Amino acid sequence: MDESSSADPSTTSSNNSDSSDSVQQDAERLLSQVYQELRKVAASKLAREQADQTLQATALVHEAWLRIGGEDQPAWANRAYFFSSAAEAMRRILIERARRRMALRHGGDQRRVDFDELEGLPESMNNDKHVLDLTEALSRFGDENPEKAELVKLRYFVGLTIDEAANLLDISAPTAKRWWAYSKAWLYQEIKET
Amino acid sequence: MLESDNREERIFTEALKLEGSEREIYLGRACGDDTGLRDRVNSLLAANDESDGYLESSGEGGFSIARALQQSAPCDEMPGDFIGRYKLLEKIGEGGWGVVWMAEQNEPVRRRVALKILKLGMDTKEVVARFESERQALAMMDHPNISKVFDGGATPSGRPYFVMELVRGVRITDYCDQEKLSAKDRLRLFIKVCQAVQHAHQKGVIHRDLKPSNILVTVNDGEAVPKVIDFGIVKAAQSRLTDKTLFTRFHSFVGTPVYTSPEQMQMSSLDLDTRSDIYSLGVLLYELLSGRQPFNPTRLSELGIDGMRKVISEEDPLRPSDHFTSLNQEDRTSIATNRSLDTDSLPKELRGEPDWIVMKCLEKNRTRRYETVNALAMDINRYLNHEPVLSREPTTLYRLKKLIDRNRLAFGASFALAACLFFGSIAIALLGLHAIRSERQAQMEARKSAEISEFIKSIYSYVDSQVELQLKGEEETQLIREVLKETMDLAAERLSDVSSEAVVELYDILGAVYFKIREYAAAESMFRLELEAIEALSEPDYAHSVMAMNHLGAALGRQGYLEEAELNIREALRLQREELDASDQEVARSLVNLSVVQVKKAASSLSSNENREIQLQAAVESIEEALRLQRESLGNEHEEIAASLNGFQVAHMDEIQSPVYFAAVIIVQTQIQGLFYHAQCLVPHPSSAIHIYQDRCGCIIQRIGAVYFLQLMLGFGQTTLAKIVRSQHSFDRIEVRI
Repeated sequence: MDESSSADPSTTSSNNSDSSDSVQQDAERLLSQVYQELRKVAASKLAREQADQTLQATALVHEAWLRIGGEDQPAWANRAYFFSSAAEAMRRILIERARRRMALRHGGDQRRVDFDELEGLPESMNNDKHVLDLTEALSRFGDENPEKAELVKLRYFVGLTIDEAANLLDISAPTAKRWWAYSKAWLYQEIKET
Repeated sequence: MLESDNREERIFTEALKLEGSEREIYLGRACGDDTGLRDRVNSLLAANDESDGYLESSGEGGFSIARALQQSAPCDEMPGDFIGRYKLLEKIGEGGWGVVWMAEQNEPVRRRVALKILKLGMDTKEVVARFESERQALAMMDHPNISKVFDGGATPSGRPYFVMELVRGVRITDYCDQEKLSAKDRLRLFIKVCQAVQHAHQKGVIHRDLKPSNILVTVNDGEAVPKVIDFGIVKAAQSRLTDKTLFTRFHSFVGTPVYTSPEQMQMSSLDLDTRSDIYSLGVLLYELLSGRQPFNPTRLSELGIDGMRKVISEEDPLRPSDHFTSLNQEDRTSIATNRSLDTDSLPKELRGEPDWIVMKCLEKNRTRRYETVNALAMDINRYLNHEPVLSREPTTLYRLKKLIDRNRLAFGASFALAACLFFGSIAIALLGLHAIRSERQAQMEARKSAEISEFIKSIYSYVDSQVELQLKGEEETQLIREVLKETMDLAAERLSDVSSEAVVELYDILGAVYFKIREYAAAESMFRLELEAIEALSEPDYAHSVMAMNHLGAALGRQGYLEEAELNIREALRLQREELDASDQEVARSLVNLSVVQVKKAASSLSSNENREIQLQAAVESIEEALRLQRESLGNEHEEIAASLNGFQVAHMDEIQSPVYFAAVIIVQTQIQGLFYHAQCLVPHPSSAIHIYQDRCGCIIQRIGAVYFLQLMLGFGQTTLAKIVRSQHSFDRIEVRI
């Protein structure tokens, strides 16, 4: 093999649907697709932003879903999965942001941090330490309760209502409420301790 | 399928509905002594009270989110960046939590390496720990077929990375196709992979994600070197980290875990062990040999996560050879070409050992797989060296059982297909037996032959117990005959110079099935062959001789060769009593067989009346003795005794050759039954057992008429029974004198 040639394509993750790539790899690929779409939608919304205007976070995701072709797209024949990926994308963005801000604060640049507030979103999202704690807690919670964790992610990171989330998860509203109460209590208590 | 609520949650939910003292009472009851549980629920309830708006959102922060999206960086690192002393050149892979870059190193040596770094946003403590354990695991290993770890570290912001040997290669599946490697060459290459995995296992590391994209082949000095890379979901066997491959309901259509072992598919973290890797290796070998994966990825992805799990855990894939032959012409041609074979030779190559070896790896129940990767490699070696392979029997029986069980409804309890499958597996067992060539082989043969014997016995008893022979039509019988014939031919061809218990068993089974489908002449030849095979055994085997003689006698008897039949059975009895010291039950069985023949003799048209009586008496005596022996050893009520009687009955009811014969049977049965009842103190002496008479004789009288029957009774000297008949029927026209 020639040393100077670029990496052999076969070492890269493959798109070959006949191969048995791990669930994770494909999930990542699709996730970055979601991410790109969200960014595009974000850009277009921001370009048309006016004062006093509010935008539902969920609207972003919905629009990205439509743009990507929705159920007509073979890879996305599952709206639930799309939203789940969107929640995951948001989660990662928030974490990144939290770390960045913590680094800035450390460096003494509080002002930049202040400008960067997230309005209209839960207070907790502006609390960087909380964001990081929540990530850890949610990860532990998700080990034993993967579906409940999914519910939390959809509600917290995408902003879905209980009914919307229940619908997406294909569970009844009472079940969703039950799960939400438990998950919330669990996470709250877990984070309070740290 | 919803995840089930755990106990803590259920109690919490219920408690929420209650208040004050009601709640306290409920908690007391629900938690019982478990103070830990009570504490947890209490703190959850407290949390619930405090966390009213927690995690709730009005949802209006869309613009903020949009801004956040704008500001975030899509990609952590860029080509040209430095991480440590490594310059990133090009991203070559991406996994769940890490990214793999090709990087360049200048000091202390100039070379290209692979650098794996944790993704941003993925660095929970958990994942960092896992990443670190992967690095450690790799560092522990030192094997030419495993990619080496050179270095490790962390970025200033704390993200860990490690540096590995850059493997430039082609996926093993692609390599084999490109080079058009034959099945045997692929197996040789595969053995090297096994050696690598074995090495890892010895270091206490389970790969858990073995698949073609993780096994690359490079060529060094003309030799193909497979390299196992990406121990990405590695688990050091001693570590407490459990694998949390969470398949939420959403990941249903993403990717297809064809390479994932059934136990890995379970959500709850089972104790995974090295055999999970063996499963994945099996899937790989399956693909290398047959050109396809055991399960169709497209089909799996359409099923959803539960369906997928069900298939992988429960459905048995086709054998590689069968899977191949099920494909269309075009596919088969291209696959065969990639193996330097034609579409006919490839399945032949795969049938037999290669098939079995693969299927043993793919067992759902991991205790049935190879114990170690080494065992797998050795079996492949044996095959390559034309030595017999160990992996057969349980698999076949297991699959047969499962196949029958699953398809019982479809088969309609038909014996035909079961028989065919059964003989197919016998044929397979046969293939493993070769003519003895050496002392060492003789020992191996002896061992294997014992295994096969067991196998054959268990199959037969299983089939026998499960399915009653109900020949539905000529077609089915024909099918069985054909399969039998083929098996016979195969036996003749392969076993003429093989001597072993397995061969004896085989002939016995063949004979038994011929017997069941009433091909008594063929059954006779089988049993004679069986006796010959017994002679050929190195040690005299009386147990088998007895068995064979009994069976031979039965087959002869059915054909009417009564004298010879009797001779055989008497010889069997002699052996039992003199050489074998057989148990009472065994002797009893032979006696029952003998009595059957004697009854036939009694009913035979060649007997004179006197003779008939004598013969019949002899038959009754045989059966009486059989019953006595059984009662002595088993007690009065044992089912064996009833079985003897039943056996006696069944043996005859379906063969109404002549009324005389039938009558003779009735008589004997009546007497036996009477004896039986008498022994149980149910009725007085047999001769006055009217109700037995009514039960038994009723049907024959309907057929042949009371008069004739009466005459038969008299002919047999059954005056008592004759009287009963007369008393039960009115005989208008004929005066019968007794």
